[in-house]
Amino acid sequence: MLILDNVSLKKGLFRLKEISFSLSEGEYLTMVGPTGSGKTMMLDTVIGINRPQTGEIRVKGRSMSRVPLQNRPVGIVYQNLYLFPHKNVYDNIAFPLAIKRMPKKTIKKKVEETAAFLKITDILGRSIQNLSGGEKQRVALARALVPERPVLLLDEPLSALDAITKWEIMQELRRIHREKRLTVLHVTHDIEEALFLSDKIGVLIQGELKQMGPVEEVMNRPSSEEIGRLIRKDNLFKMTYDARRSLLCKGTFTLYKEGLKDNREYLVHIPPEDIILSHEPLTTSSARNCYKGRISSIIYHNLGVKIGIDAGIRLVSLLTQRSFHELELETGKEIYLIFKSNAVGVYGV
Amino acid sequence: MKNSFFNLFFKILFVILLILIAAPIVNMLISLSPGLINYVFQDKEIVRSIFFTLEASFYATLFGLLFGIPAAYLLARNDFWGKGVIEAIVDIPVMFPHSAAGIALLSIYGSRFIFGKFFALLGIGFVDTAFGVILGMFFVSFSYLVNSAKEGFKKVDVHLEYVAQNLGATRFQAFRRVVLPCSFSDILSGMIMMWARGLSEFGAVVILAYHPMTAPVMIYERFTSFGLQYSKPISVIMIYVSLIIFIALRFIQHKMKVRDKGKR
Repeated sequence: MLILDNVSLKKGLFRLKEISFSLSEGEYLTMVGPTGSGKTMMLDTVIGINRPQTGEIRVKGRSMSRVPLQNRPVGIVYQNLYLFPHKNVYDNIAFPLAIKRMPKKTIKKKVEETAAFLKITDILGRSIQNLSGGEKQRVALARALVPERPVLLLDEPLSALDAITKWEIMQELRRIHREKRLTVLHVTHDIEEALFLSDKIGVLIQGELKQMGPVEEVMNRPSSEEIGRLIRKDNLFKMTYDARRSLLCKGTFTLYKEGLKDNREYLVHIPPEDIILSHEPLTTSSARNCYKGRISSIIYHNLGVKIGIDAGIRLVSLLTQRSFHELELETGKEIYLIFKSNAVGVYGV
Repeated sequence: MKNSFFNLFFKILFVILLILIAAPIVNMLISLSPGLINYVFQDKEIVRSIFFTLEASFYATLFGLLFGIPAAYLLARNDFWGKGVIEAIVDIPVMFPHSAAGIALLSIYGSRFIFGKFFALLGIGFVDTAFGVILGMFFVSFSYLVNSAKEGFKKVDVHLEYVAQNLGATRFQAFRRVVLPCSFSDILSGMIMMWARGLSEFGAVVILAYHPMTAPVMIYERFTSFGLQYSKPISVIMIYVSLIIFIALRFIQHKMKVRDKGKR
């Protein structure tokens, strides 16, 4: 459906380097990258604002090289939404249809259908200035969807929203994607969005597509430390393997693991949600890794509570609110950390 | 103590300034009487010159829109080598002594000079014609419109245009349906300023086209030929016209400001 074939572009000092990927019909790809990695530049190139210096963009098999911006079958919603401030909600959504000089009856029907789909029927008569962040987001989505184009691009669409609205819109995006069978290219710096919404994840760093694949593959097998650090922020470190003792070592901290190459450095990741906390060492558990540590921080998170523990190295455990209250944790308290060996991700460095 | 002396000193200077500026205006404004209105409207030459001035300035503003809007848009949207020079060229006519601007115009649009000869082929002359009046007004006032529109266009994020195009609009449609409405308040302010500046133009117009007579030229003519008493009625009317335009401008700016505040 959407193919970028070796697309390169230089703008000022920044360069988008030979970006290649393809998306099948109905696939959802989230391109993750830090600020300034070229994500928006890539989207601007797909919709035709930028012209690639090399390579080609194809939509439904058709090259976009000579297709002007206004004729590309690709919709976009930007982070700033860019709703037309001089038009009300109805006229914003009707804009792409009015431009095509569709009959007023058809426009009304399509606008009302799209508004109903996005649950904004009751705000159609309102001015843009009087909408909440979530309502504006829905209007921008409705405006991008109403021309019924097969590909939708989303440029950090959730980054300006509060946590509750963000969650609502994320669910809405998932519903839109599934019900409309849209091919979606979403760019963000937030890995949580990618995990919730995507079939595939791409990692864009300094204008280069470093890795791309199904969500599980990229999350579990990042191809470099740089990518690992981008997508896995907690509990990621380099460790050296001691084959004689079957231990990965970092200072005094060691991890039991079998079958790795002796004296070689590995990138290790322990998912925070896989670390169990207990006031007693669990000797009967099948988990081979049990450590004593001291709680150094407690941070409330939208997915639960993040507990920072000093156990020779700093580890983070993610607990549900319920577990946190049951354990009666406090900073400074001693605690045992337990996790299974097979929860530990080890990647070759 | 020192502080109160400071305040008092500044206040005195401020009051003196207000008196110096307001006195002649107020003096003229209070001169308006039924007799004066009757006198003005019985003198067909005065009535004709007032309407002609309003009309010529309006046409100058229309030309300003035609040529100034694209110029303002290009200057707002593009950075290029020599942009500073071009912006200076747009601003220079405001800085000229206006009689010097008239001489400059006459030296190229006069019937013996290059542009004058060219336009003569099209049947358009500038010396002592309405075209000359419009050209003089246009020359000294178009930068007000260009600069105001340029600032308006700068306020409209270029991505609004891209989004409009992504939604199927051509560049011209995106400009007409999105950029123009979003920068309308600044364009309107520029138009009113240009129109008002055109109304009051004397120097450039009197050199290029003494006839047909605009109101400012007629005030000058009446004053030099007949004295203060005969130049005063038309002056009073013109001051009222300018005042009405000024109030309208402030009112529109205020309304637009309130609207823009709502948008943010």
